Amino acid sequence: MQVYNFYLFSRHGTCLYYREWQRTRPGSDTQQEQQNLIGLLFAVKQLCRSLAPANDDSLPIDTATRYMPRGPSNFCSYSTEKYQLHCFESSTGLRFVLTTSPTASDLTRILQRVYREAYVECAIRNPLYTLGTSIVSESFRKRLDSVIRTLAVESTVFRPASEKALRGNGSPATKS
Amino acid sequence: MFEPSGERASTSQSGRSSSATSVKTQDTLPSAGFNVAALAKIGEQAFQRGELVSAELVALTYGALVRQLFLDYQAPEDVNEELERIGYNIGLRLVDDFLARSAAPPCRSFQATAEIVARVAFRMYLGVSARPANFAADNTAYSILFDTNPLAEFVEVPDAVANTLWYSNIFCGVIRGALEMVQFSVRASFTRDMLRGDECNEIRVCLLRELEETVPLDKET
Repeated sequence: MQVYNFYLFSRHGTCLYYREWQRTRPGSDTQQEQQNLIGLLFAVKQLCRSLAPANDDSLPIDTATRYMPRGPSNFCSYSTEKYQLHCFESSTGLRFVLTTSPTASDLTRILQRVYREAYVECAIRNPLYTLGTSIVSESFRKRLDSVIRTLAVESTVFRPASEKALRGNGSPATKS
Repeated sequence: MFEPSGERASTSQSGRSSSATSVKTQDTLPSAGFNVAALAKIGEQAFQRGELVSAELVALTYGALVRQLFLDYQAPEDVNEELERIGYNIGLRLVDDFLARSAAPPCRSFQATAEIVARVAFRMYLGVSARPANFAADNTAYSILFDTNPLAEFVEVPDAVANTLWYSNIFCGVIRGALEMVQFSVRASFTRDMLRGDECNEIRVCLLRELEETVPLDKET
């Protein structure tokens, strides 16, 4: 499995951090790409919610009767022939996005680790960091890299065989 | 291609063993009826996992802070306000630390925040047990009650300000900041304090409004 790039979006949709590893085709306009991506994620979230059944038992009674449930969406990934995009949204609205080759399994756990071990440790706990600004910390990059490196090791060991059945065919397929 | 029904979507997910899935199953309990013992356990485990700091050190440092604020501001009302503001800034950051480390189930409603804040967050950060109570009929307010206040150890409030100063007002700010980050704008205030001779500490949390997620606007248009 190859890991292409990583984005971290704030709750207001600005890109706080961007890093690429094995990106073979560089984007022409990074800013535009980030804007398009966050637009896509917002749209997918809205769509997933509006398609969800209203009487969802997993929701508390008072919100279940409402049209849109609150909180982060459980949308976790879509895949195409060429790549797979993984997303984890925290309750505070941060979005951790990772793109990989389409042979990856569920990476929510890895993105939660990025949240816990990189973002909380190096941004939230850094008194010099102002919330909502882009992250320039070198230690953030190191921690992010070390989490992604464990992924490279794990993925060869723990890849479920049934994952192949869920592939989309060219067009984005959502599993939410 | 979207999964047409919620049921199928959930079965396709249940095969994976991710922590997100297990969090989701905890949320299947009705909101007010979170499994209380389980929440307390989550809080306790997070408390154990975290770095522990001597409670006396915290109490003494906090006492020094309040005293210094008194010297700077004189009026107890201003001190209350400043403590609340400090707490608010702590809360804005603390909530991410909390969500990342506690593995608490997500708050889907305002009542759910009562359970999570009282049973998990108080346990995790202060090592004390708190309980939600006095829910308003329309679910827009609740109280958090706790009997032990680690900040108020060794504290004697001078008589002159005993009825105006809320010594631990920083908690109110933390709660306001943290809940604002999860889209609930609230007002939190102490209503009872054991330093004033009340039988327990009570923080009243009132919902002002639920914030809506802001959709990023295209800068070109």
